[in-house]
Amino acid sequence: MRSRLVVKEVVSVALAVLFVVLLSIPIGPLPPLGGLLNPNGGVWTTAEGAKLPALEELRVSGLDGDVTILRDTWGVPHIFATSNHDLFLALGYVHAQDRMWQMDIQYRFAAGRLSEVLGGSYIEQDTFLRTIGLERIARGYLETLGPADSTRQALDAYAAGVNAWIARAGTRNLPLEYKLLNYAPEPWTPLHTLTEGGLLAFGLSADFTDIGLGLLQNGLGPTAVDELFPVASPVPVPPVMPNGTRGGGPVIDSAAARDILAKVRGLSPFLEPLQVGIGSNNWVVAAARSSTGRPLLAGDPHLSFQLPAIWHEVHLRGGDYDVYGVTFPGIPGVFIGFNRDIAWSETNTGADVTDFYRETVNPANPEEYRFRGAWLPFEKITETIRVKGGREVAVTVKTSIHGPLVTQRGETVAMRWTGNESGSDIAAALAWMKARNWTEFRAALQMFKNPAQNFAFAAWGASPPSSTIAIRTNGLFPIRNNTLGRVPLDGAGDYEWKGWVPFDEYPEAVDPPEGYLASANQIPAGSRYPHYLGWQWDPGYRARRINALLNGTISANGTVTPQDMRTFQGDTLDVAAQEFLPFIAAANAACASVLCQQAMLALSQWDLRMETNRPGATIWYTFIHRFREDVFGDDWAAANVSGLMLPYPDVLERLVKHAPDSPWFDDVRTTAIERRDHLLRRAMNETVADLAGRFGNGPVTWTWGRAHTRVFAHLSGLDALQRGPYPAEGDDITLDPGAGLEARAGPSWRMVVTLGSPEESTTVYPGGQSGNPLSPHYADQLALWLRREYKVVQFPATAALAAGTLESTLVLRRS
Amino acid sequence: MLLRWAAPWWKSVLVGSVLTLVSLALGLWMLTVLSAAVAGFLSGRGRSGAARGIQSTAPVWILWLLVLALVAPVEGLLLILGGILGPGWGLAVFLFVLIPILLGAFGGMAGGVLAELLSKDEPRSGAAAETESAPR
Repeated sequence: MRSRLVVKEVVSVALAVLFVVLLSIPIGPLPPLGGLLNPNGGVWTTAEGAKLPALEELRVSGLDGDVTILRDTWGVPHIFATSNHDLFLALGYVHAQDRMWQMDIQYRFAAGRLSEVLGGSYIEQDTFLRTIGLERIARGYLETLGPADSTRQALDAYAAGVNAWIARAGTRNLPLEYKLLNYAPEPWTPLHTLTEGGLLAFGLSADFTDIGLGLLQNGLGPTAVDELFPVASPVPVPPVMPNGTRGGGPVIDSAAARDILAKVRGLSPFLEPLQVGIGSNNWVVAAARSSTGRPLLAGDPHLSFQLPAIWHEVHLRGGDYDVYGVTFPGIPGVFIGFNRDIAWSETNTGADVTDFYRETVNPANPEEYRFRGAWLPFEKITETIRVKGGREVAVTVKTSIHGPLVTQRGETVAMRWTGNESGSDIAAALAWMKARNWTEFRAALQMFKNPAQNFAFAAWGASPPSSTIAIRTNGLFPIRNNTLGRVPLDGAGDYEWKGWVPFDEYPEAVDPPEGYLASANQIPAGSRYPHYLGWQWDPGYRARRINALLNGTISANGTVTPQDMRTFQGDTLDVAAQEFLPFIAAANAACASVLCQQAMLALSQWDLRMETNRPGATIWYTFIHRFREDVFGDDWAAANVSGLMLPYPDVLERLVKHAPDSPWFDDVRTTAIERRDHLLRRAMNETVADLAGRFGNGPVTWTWGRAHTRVFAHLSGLDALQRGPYPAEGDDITLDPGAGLEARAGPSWRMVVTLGSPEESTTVYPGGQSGNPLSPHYADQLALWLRREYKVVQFPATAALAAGTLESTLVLRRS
Repeated sequence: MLLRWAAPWWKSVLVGSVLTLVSLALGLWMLTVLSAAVAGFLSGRGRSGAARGIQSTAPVWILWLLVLALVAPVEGLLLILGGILGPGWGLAVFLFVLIPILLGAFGGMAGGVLAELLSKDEPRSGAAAETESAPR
């Protein structure tokens, strides 16, 4: 009997211990369940932290004085401090409070440190990011900043603020994602900020199209590439200089090219937010053309719809600053916004600031490459990637004089990117945030190198009354020797960068007679501009639409109102459809099937707006994508380049309008010679068959909202944390864009600033301030945004918000 | 002596529950198993020890969360967790309840059997025996 009890006891104790151990270790992708579901400290703290306390006071060491942080009903922090140091410390604190995991994971991605927290499946990604070396670049820049440098001081203060929050949160109050992934943030440093800043620059400016274009040139030949991917739109401009290739052969080894493209694809989803839909709009209206008698500025940068949102909205007041706008969590700078005197917004220039060099490796010594007649050794850097649940991996990064080797498969290719030589833009942001006029703002832009942006600017001074509007393309633009660098180049030394376009020669316009200026990623300067800046310009449909709207409104009403500006941002008229529809109608005037006739009727009755209740929008969108595939798909397949980019719609527009017999319309798979109208008919037949298959046989029911949605995915990829899909307006061409049938990018921030009375400005973004999915501010602005509505900002000069709009107060006291 | 003090069944549960509460308050959820062991030990027998263990752990875990739910959007989190785990919020609730039940059962059983083992060395008190068979 006693021995039975002993056995029973041993088994009971063993079961208890085993169960506790089981609950304490991760099982597959799941974190330890005991800690995760523990009612005090597990995931449930996410619910506890969903709402900030109405009033809280904290002691923080290192402050110059007290800081008051007021949160309004949208969770926007209004930070009132007495010094620059305290302002940036408090900004670091609120960024961490709202978005710590987002900051952390974006930094880890940029630094090539995802494997540390996500496991071995991220080693390849990490290796590639270490090869690019964003953290190396950041470290190099940081070393140039002395302790007295104001940028360094801002970075240090910001990091102290982030760390104050980390210390206060402990492990108990970390965001949900940390609990799910079972790790904790490390102390934040200026290096984290600069590395994350490097990611922004990389995502918006490092461009791998040269590789794709190289493959296209291999398959289609240089003449076809120059015709279909012209330097300037819409008329093809032959290159003024040779392409810098090695003669008649391929411009890049196919295996090397595909290896690079695969590595870049592997960087999703962290890079995608910055690359998908990198189109944007901004425009300014001069005081004389504004209904307020003061300038107006509108800006809506198009980036990913990620949650937590890519932006974090703030009002900073203290020291040298009194500024409102959007910041990137992890970085102490307002990138788009306004202060009491000026406003600015940015669109991506899309400049060509990346080149790829095919290095000739010494057959007798693979550690050397040829440059200007000599064999030079590759520089080697050894990096160690720590792996969660696995062994450390040592990675050797090799660099040539051009930059890191991005592939050695098939052939050795090095990447040269202006980000390697331009440091950080935070200094520029810190300067423009406090600029009071165009002169000061332009001086700040002198420090802004990468990614190249088109800055729309407006300023208003009350006494004496003064007003400025301006637009300027700004960045670091290489001048190449003997080449445009549109495809991979021979690295032996003949096609090097020999300097930079001088700052004073950047495209710029100030106070034009028209009374307005606009940019939408189109070519920045006319044909007489002497420097090559790039070729991947937006086809220009949005730019045409903005200019038409501004010009039309001024002609009709004399002035533009702030409400007009907001309406323009939500405009869905498809200018490309306007250009193509007459040709589609003519070719299909006698189409045979009833379905086709009904579809043509729907198109003829369509008002060209990509609104959710328009069947014409669905037919047009489906048609144009079919048509483009029909025109080029056969040629791409024959050249073995299927899946690579197709020409932009403006190139197709030129062919349709001016070259109906172009060989591109011929289907190379048939013996007959097809021409434009044949393909216009074929694409329409395919369109109606496709739509009937998806939505049934009544074209009137093929509304755009059934075909087209927007999805707001969480950065972790967890569906449980995403919002949408929602039926959505817009397409790739419209001012209010929604590219793709399931749009995952678009206006990431909409802002209309009324200079002279900035507190009447309106903003909105698709998300919310908090990264906590249970917070009322996780996606509270999304509902407004979806309705194309705005909120009026609060921009108080003293630490007080409008009655009834104060949600919480946090006072950071010096300890 | 201890067994005699814990003679009514609820006293062992009370002790176990207080200890569970303290464990959770300290952020040491794994000590829940020891709280259950104490409750089980006080019950004096293995099988009833498991029951006392469960009674002293699961309600505290669940109550903690219910109280939290009064001030925080716990139900929203359950939906999210259910979405992450796959089948839905039911699985999240199931796992959450299962953990303290098993901790309580294993801990309570170990405590109860230990009490039985120790009681073999001395005559079992009548009071304890009565308590075991008392109607509940």
